[in-house]
Amino acid sequence: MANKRAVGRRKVLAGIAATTGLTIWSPRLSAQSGEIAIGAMVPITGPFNVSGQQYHFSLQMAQDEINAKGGVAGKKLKIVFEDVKDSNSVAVNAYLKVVRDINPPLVFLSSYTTQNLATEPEVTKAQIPAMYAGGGDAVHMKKNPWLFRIRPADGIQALALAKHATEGLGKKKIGILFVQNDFGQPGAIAAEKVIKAAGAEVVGMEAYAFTDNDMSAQIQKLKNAGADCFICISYGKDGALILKLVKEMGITIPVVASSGVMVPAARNLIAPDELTNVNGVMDAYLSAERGPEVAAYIKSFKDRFKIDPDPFGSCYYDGAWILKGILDKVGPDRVKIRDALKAVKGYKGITNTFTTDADGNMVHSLAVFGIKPGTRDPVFIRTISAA
Amino acid sequence: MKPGRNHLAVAAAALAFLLALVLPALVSGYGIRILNLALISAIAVIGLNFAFGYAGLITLAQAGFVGCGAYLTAILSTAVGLSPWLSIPAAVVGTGLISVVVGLPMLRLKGHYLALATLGFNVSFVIVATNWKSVMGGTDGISGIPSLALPGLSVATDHRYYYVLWLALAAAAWIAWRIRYSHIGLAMIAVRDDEIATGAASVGVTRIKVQAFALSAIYAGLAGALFAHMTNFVAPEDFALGHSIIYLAMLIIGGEGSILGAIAGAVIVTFMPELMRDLGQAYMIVFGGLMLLILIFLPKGLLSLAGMVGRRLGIAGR
Amino acid sequence: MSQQLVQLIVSGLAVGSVYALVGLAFIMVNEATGVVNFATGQMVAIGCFLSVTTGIQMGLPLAAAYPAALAGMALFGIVFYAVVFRPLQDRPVVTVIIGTVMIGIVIQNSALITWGSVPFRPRSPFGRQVVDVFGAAISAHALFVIAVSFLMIGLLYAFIYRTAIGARMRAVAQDRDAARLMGIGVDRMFVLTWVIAGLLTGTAGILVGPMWFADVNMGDPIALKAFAAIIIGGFSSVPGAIVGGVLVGLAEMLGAAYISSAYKDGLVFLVMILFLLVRPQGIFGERIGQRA
Repeated sequence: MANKRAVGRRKVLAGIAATTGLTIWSPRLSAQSGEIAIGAMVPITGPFNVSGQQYHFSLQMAQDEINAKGGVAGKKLKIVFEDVKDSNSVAVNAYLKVVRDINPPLVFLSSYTTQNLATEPEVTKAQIPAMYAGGGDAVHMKKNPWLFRIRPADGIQALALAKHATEGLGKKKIGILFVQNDFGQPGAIAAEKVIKAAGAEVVGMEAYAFTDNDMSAQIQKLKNAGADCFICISYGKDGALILKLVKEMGITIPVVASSGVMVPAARNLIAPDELTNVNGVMDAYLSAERGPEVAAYIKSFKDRFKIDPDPFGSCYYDGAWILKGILDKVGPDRVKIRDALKAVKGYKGITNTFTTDADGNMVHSLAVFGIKPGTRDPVFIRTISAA
Repeated sequence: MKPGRNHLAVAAAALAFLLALVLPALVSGYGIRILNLALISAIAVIGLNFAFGYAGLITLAQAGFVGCGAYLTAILSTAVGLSPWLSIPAAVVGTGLISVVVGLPMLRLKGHYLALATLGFNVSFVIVATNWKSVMGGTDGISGIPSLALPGLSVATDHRYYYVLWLALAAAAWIAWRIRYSHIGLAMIAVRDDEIATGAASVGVTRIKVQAFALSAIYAGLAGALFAHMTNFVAPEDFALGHSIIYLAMLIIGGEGSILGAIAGAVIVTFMPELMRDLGQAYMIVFGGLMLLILIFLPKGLLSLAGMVGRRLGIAGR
Repeated sequence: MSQQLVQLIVSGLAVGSVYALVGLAFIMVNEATGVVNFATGQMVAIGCFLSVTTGIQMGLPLAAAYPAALAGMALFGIVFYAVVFRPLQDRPVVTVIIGTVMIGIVIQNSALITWGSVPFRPRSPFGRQVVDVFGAAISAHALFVIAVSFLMIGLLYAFIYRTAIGARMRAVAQDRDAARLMGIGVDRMFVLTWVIAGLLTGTAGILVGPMWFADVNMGDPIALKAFAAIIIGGFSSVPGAIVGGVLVGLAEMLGAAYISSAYKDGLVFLVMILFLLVRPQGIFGERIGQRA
């Protein structure tokens, strides 16, 4: 008996040794001559992998298109992807790894604010320019000269939500429902300011935890406070739950929802009649109606990856093309790339128009949508910009 | 323990420490960061060994105490503006005090009751850190935490910080070893082995448990403070319940009740995800599966494997 | 005002009865086999996703989809018994805790690979019907959740206390060795216990799907609340799990409405810790609470 056990144990240990051994010796990537390698920190696995996939795909597409058109500064562009999962420390480790492996002239950071914040000190130490898509205002408030945001900041989103509820819908008593974290909390405070400045009243601000599944207490509270409109600052699943509950509770006042609720994965969780009174914002108006370039982008994305592109991921496509223009002009010199990124003005991309401000924000507007009755399809209403 | 084997272990440890001294010369920035994280975890796990390995207290609060240390030094060195050389010891003492306040009532519980109570503490810590925006920064955390600096010499780079951590770990391990063979350490082990007997001998079981718990927390506080000054940024996520479970897993995998085991477990478990990056989505499945296999087939941890190999070599040499 | 209260109480009862089911699964396993199962939450998620597979992906009518998902969960209980429980059976409490946490990680990530990270919205047998309860608009599904949970709990109670097999299970829970001497097939009772745990968590998973959507990360938050529920109710008591679950559900809803929506979870855990300190046997615990 004891002997049998020992044999089994040895086999298991040999298996463990083999598994770890294989990966220890996996080769280090390094940039070939004739190639310019840049890094991209993407949530490839883990709970954020759906938004990560969009980002991954749009950069892959940009890389291949750029190489088909002669590459960058006469060399081939190679994007090295590292998985950042859903963890700050994994993101920082991945950043240090890509810096060691390829010593890149630029790195794309993930679209999660805390990961951006956690990586920010390392970016300063490495002195490598980075484009990022986390929305939290805390990132640009660091005023790190190496960081450039290729999406509208959360502050702009909050402003758009508040402006649309007050000016757009003409509502006077607004209840704010927000997810209790770095995205929802500052967003709610920013929206409150704009609403008050517009002469309307905030009848209540209610938080819920990201993992909450039942927000009926908060909704009820806002309704009892006399709200004639809800602003909902949430992600996808939680936002969908809120819209479901609002309908269930027989509440018919309009809801102005943040961009997380408007992405297809979230809209598909919501029945069309639950979307009746819903307006929402998105980073960009990504539609063939906007012109032939956008139409071509949507078509080739869908042909290649079999899914529609969303504006969150597509901003990285724009980022890659901005980088190509800069690399062609100044070459792979980090300081020169940084200075060129600072000087970007009026670049028209697929998602937005990019102009860098003093804090490294490159995008300053976003789009407001309604829902076509009886469907889940968004209908463009207007663009709201920060100025 | 037989004296012969003891000498061998000491020699092996000395060799390992010498190797550790020259390591930074051989490793890149990324590798050294992972190594630094391993050293920090090792300090926390040596601490956990007091409560769990010696006194037999099942605690799922270690990450919470690491968080206490990290946040205390973060707040003291940013908002208050203390030098890290002052804020780190203050954070360690503060974490110890918190653990006594928490531990005094909780340590009357045993087994899974204690596990669930400490779990509740860890969950509550994260809830407070997430919501107490004005002091703890909410989910944005606290950034701009200064790096350690000597007069005329910054230790901001990971390579230099490695030596700070290495010294801290060596000191922590040495102190832990001294405590282990002091009357305090022996009392802890006695509490685990036969609580009723020592209780009857009126050694003050609760006092010993609180001592073990506080020592655990003090080590955790040190680990957290050192972490904060390396990453220059802390956020609630790094101290969530899952990390408490990882610390416990490190100790069990290395070998509970052993300082070397604690260090070995911390190093192995920290490097594992980096070594298996290529597994992608399947990594967590392999990780969980490996841990389960080690629990089932090597209940005394990987260090017992080293012991087995050592014995075999001894036999071969004879 | 009172309409709001009705709304909150019904929501709290629905949430609470789910916690009660999950808490019961935890207690059953702990009492009968001595295993503290930290993978209970992941079992709920698997139950929910099995109903996604049968009800959405295979398109079965719910009358077939639910039993099929439950059969899958019974099987899952047997596999769990063989793969996890057997090897860890006589190990120290902490080994079992870490072991079940690790198996939880394996289950959760396997689910992530199998079903993806995009949530699903399982349909309810009552569709999206809303009924009027004392002037408050209540979803019919919430009432269904309450009814089914209490039906399940009643059936379990009758099974344990009114049948011969139940008596044997109780004998095993009380004294394993004595039960073996009495000729009771202890191992068979263990298998049965894990099957019951699978059915209870499976039911909880099926019920929460239409309310909260199916999400592979749904397990841990539910399990944490269920832990709190059984500590408040009493770690080894069936009525305790019910009362504890309902109390936690109500505390969550009423706490969010009348105290603080941000700190409502903190409140639940604070109450849990207070109970551990002041009355570790919970409201209904009749035994010494502080056993190792």
